[in-house]
Amino acid sequence: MTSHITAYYSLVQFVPDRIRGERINVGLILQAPAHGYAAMTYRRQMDSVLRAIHPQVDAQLIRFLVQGLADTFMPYANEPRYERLFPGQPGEGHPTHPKYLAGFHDGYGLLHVTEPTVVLVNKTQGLAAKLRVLRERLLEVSTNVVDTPSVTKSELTKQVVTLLKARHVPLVTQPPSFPGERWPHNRFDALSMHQNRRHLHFLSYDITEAPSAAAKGFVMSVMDLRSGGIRYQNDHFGVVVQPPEHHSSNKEDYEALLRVCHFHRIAVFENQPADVKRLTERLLGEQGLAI
Amino acid sequence: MHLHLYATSYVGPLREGDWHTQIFLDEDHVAWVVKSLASARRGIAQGRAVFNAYVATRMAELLALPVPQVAVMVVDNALLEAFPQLRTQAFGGFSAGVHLATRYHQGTTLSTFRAARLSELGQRKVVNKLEASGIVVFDTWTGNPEHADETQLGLYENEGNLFFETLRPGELRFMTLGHSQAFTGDWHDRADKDPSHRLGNWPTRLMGHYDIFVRGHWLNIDACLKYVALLQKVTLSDLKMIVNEVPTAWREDIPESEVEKLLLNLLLRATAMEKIVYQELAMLPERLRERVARP
Repeated sequence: MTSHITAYYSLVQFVPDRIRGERINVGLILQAPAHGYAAMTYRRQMDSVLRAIHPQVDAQLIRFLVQGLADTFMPYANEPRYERLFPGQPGEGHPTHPKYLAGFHDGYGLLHVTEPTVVLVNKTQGLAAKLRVLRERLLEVSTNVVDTPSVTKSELTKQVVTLLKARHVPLVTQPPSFPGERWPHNRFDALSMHQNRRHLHFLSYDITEAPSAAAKGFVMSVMDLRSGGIRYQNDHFGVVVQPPEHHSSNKEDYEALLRVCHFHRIAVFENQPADVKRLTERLLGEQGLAI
Repeated sequence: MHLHLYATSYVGPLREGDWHTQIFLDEDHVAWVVKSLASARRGIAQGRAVFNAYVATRMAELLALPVPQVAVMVVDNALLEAFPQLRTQAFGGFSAGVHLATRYHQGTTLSTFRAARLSELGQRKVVNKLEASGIVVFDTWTGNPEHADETQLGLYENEGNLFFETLRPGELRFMTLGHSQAFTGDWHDRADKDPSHRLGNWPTRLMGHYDIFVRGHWLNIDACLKYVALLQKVTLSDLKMIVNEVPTAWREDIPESEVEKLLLNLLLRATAMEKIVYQELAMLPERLRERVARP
């Protein structure tokens, strides 16, 4: 006596366009003809998934089709409790027989049933438990991805601006753009006017994708204004950055920014109490952001 | 007894054209890459390939290095009856019994990155760069030329064996595949053409120099020495435990005395590893300059 049952599984897939061939798994059929067992399981909330692959889909229709198919297997979905003395030999037209599914290959349908694949099921595990395992592997996408905490640019701006305003720093958070030599619109995130203009920009590297384009744009704007002759010669530039504490893959981009800022004499402040205090003093002082 | 798996279903070959590595599913419907015993024996390491791959990968696991899990997989007659093509020569000539299974991960290899001209990007997103030092030290310890080594033939890189797995958006974790040539392949039977390929007569140079490790400054002497200290803590009983996990079918041709000799050689080599690491890493800046000069 073998310890494994020979069973067959097939996937029920939604195919919106046979020519494009894109498909998504919506259901799963497990059949064990020798044990008179056949069962189907399907996605409970499938509408959003269907619409993601094809926005104009009649999701209700697909849901009804899948449910109707599942109902066909309902009478055979009981786990066989006892070993059969004589293994069942159902005909090809019987729902527990893998050939039965060939009837669903009509070539026009929105639902496609894949060819049955052999799967050996441990008798101690049982068919119903195997169906659950298959469902977990083939229908559900694991969502236990741990989200890395991140600080977005707007969060960084909010935190630092709140602290600066609490220390009575006069700050314009949506300053106008400044025409330079090359571009008419050089825009920074904050501006403080005290004897001379002090431009501040905010960049967060503690997010999934490093803000490389934004950083490059900022440095280019600074270079543009500095090359603008007498108009901007007293302007000071500073950048407030969030170091990549959680997203270590951004570390190299962050260090590159520090080097570039050092080269172009742009003051750098991190989002931490000591640096915010230093920034406040510089913004309120006579010295400004000059390095 | 380490992990023993039972193959319940078959998916297909790992790569189109390479029919000798097949993907099987275990009882939890998790995918494993299985190489049949018959096709494994046809490689350089012959009868010892499976033994080498299993023992070396388990040793790497012991040191917490980035390698895919290995296990012993039972392929039953019932499965071979359902998929009769597996018995044919073209599909690796599977027979009922125990085969070596490696956990299947989805991702990209270095060769794919190179082909797409994305090595810079790949390098930037890797989060476990420190473990590169561990891999280099481990490959040197086990004398494994499979990843990369600088021999008299010049630089040779096996790009397909450096694999990048996506963990989260924006993060990659590298992994090294291919340990069947550990202990320098067929470590006893080879004729004396190359003296470095004899048991216990392993090269005194660092192995596993991937260009990306060197150019990207992933190697670092402190990390290397940390790993040397770690592998010096491995005891004979640890190694024996791993060897005892190997099914008898895989080591029929290997006498007990040879295995004993191999393990003692490994322990002896571990004590001499610091010197090799120091010598090689001190020369690394020079070699880096050489490589940059090369087109």
